[in-house]
Amino acid sequence: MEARSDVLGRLGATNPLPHGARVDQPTADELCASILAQPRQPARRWTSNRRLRVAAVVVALAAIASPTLAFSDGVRSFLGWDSLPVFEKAKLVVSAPVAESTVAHLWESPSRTGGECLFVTYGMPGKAEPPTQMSGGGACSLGPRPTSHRPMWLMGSVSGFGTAPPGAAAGVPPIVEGYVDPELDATRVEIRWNGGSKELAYANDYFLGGVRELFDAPPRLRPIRVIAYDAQGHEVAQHEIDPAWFRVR
Amino acid sequence: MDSSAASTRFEQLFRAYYGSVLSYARRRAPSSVADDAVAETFLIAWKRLESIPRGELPWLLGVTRRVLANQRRRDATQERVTLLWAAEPVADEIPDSTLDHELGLAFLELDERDQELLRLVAWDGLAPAEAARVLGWSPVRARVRLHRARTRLRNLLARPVTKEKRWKPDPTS
Repeated sequence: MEARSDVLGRLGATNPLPHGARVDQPTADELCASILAQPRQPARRWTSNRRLRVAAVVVALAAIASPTLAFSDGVRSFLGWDSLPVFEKAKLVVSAPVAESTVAHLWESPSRTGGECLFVTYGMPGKAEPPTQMSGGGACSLGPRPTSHRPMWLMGSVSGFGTAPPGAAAGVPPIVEGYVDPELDATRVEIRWNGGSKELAYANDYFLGGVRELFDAPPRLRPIRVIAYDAQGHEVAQHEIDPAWFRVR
Repeated sequence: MDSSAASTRFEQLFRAYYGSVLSYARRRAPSSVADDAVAETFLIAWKRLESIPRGELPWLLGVTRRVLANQRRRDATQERVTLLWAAEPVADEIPDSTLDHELGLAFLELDERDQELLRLVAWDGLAPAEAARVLGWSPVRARVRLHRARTRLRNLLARPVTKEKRWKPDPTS
């Protein structure tokens, strides 16, 4: 029992806001009044137009709601909000064609907070331009990568370009990228779903690929797995992905 | 419910829970994103006032949770490309403001829903039955998963740090 309490207590000590957010009363009052001024309608399924109107209202509300709490730099950095790559030190690890005349590049670089970054850029076929921003999404750690051996980890992104229906030539499809522990001696990586599969580009222990079939993936495509194989064709690592992550609506 | 009664109930709801919903959101997102989510949550509450069950806080936190998830997806469309998920993320998502790396690494090995269950209990102070409503689970399921998540976290923290952990395919799968 004591050990159970220890685990929750230790986790509780990591609470970024142990005493709760400070409520700025004028801001709260203004928000409450703004909402009360909105017409009430019976709950029903939203159409796109209604969704847009609500979004506009929320934007307006956000504009009048000034921030009432500022996190310290340490907390902000710890939560990963300020960590960015040192672009000048970025190293290209793997590239893959993802759409007509579009190649995705996966870069590894140190982060500005002493950690590591992994991010994607897009370009034309040919030589990769040195990156100046994380234009294709990515993530940075705050410190060195954990030394515990993870067999595989994944990241992914869905692009607004990819709003074309599956099979359409235009647009960047959902992108999957990640890393396989080099000690597993993987030689190829594929993504497999119910009814299909695709080999991902794999180099320098990193994989990358665009998978158009998974755009807005319905649940029937379960299970979706990224699988790494060794030279003998044996699975050496795998990770399952929830199709919900490929949905944009 | 007439409009006067609706306004009164909403104001009571807002006064009672605004701080808790704001805290929940800001523990999980930057303040600019969190404030947006809180505004949208209460706007939804206003529109659906009649359908909010008693014991409103878990319902509100459940809405906030979905709004935050939807905002991440919306951002992906508006900004064209945004990181959406990290099945086993790098260290930037360790939920620990005191840099307890050991706990952070162990925590990341838990199922994402179990992570949120533990946060709801340890950070937001909810009882397991309330956390269950936020997550859309039955109270029994939440209690069982909470027990398992605590046990798993405790075991992960107790394992020898020098022993290399290698993944092997499950021969039964």
